[in-house]
Amino acid sequence: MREDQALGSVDVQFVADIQNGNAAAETALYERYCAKVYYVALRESRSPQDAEDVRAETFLRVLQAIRGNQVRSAAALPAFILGTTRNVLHELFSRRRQTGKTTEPETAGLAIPSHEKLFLDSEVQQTIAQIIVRLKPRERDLLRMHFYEELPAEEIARRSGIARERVRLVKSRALRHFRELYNRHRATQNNRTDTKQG
Amino acid sequence: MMHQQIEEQEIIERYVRDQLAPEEKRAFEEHFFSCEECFDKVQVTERFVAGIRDAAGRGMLAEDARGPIPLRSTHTWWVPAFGVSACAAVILAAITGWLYLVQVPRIRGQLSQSAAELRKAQQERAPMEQQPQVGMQAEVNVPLVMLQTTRGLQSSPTDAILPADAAQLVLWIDVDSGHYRTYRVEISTAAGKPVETLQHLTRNSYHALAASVPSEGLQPGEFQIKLFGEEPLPGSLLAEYRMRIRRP
Repeated sequence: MREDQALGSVDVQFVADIQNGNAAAETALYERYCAKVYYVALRESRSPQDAEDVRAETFLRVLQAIRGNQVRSAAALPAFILGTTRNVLHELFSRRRQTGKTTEPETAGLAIPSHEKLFLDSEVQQTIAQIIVRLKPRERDLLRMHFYEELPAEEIARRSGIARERVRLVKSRALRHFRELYNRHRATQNNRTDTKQG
Repeated sequence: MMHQQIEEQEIIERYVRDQLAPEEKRAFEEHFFSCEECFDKVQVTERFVAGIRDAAGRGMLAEDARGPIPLRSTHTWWVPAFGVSACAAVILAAITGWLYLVQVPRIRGQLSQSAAELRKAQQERAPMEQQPQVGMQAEVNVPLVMLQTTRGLQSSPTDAILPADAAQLVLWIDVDSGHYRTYRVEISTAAGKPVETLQHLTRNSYHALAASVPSEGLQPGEFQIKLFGEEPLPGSLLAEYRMRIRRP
């Protein structure tokens, strides 16, 4: 059985349990999808407060729909939750437009900070600093030109004298190092927290 | 959407960097809603891209960068705080030194000078303070004369015995009730030379005016005394008296 098929069967079970009045299934459904709903809402709204509101409203509607047997296909529950999230976001932006309070982030230009700032914290900065130390000067240039100056791959290859394939390799290797170090940081952090709480 | 496609087309990085077409974006979101592995990669890539862009913005990826620039993390707040504190300490030390080395000696000098001047003034004033002030001293056996209205040139003046050491002579003049609130008394010699003028006299509880006159101007001899009503206006001459000063 493929992973998505396995997940689909879990969703089918969730829907059945919720429709049978199982409150624990509602909690499990929330825990399974809350991070994804919040992430999409945060990307679109670029506001943690709005993302919280969208997440709460989305799950309210999803659970009401499941309880009322309004979900057409239990196997398509992820798509249903995503669609509900988009609807809630759309309604939020429509309300804001009508009241003249704001515009959608895409049309707001520089007035709304990029959502990437919401992912930047001291752990990320420390991990990046450790990665940069390991990089060769040419690889640093490459990452700067790609992610910061956002130059086309051909231009980066021309300036750095590195083949396009090599550019991709440098990126994926840096990302892999980041993932390893970041996860290690997080694990250390979690251990410290557990020790303090214990 | 298949993982191979996601990998080959760098879908995750492009999604994070908002470089997917709307349909691609929608399809990928539907995918990671049911794929924990891809959602995890999206989260890591978001942080990686944000971190790289932040580092580049701070010059850590510059061509001439030799090493990482200290992070603006929550752990480096003390660097500017320490700098500000150090500057404040240096300024405080400079002010303290200036006060101690320049201002304090100057103020001490001024204080010493003022103290010396004060001592000198006290020494000069001491003998004067030891001398009794005539006007401030109590006086006993003050001579008093009760004046009688003159009823003709032939009538004899009222005699006032004024000892040589008397400083004051008290005049006592009975006044009939009238409409004046205040009175004026003019004293002159028999030849008409003014000696003293006493103004704003009011009647006491005995319906009389009482006033003291310095004895310096009252040499033995005869004096004319005129009583005027002063207020309310118009004033007028009410009575005349003759007084003769004699020595005991």
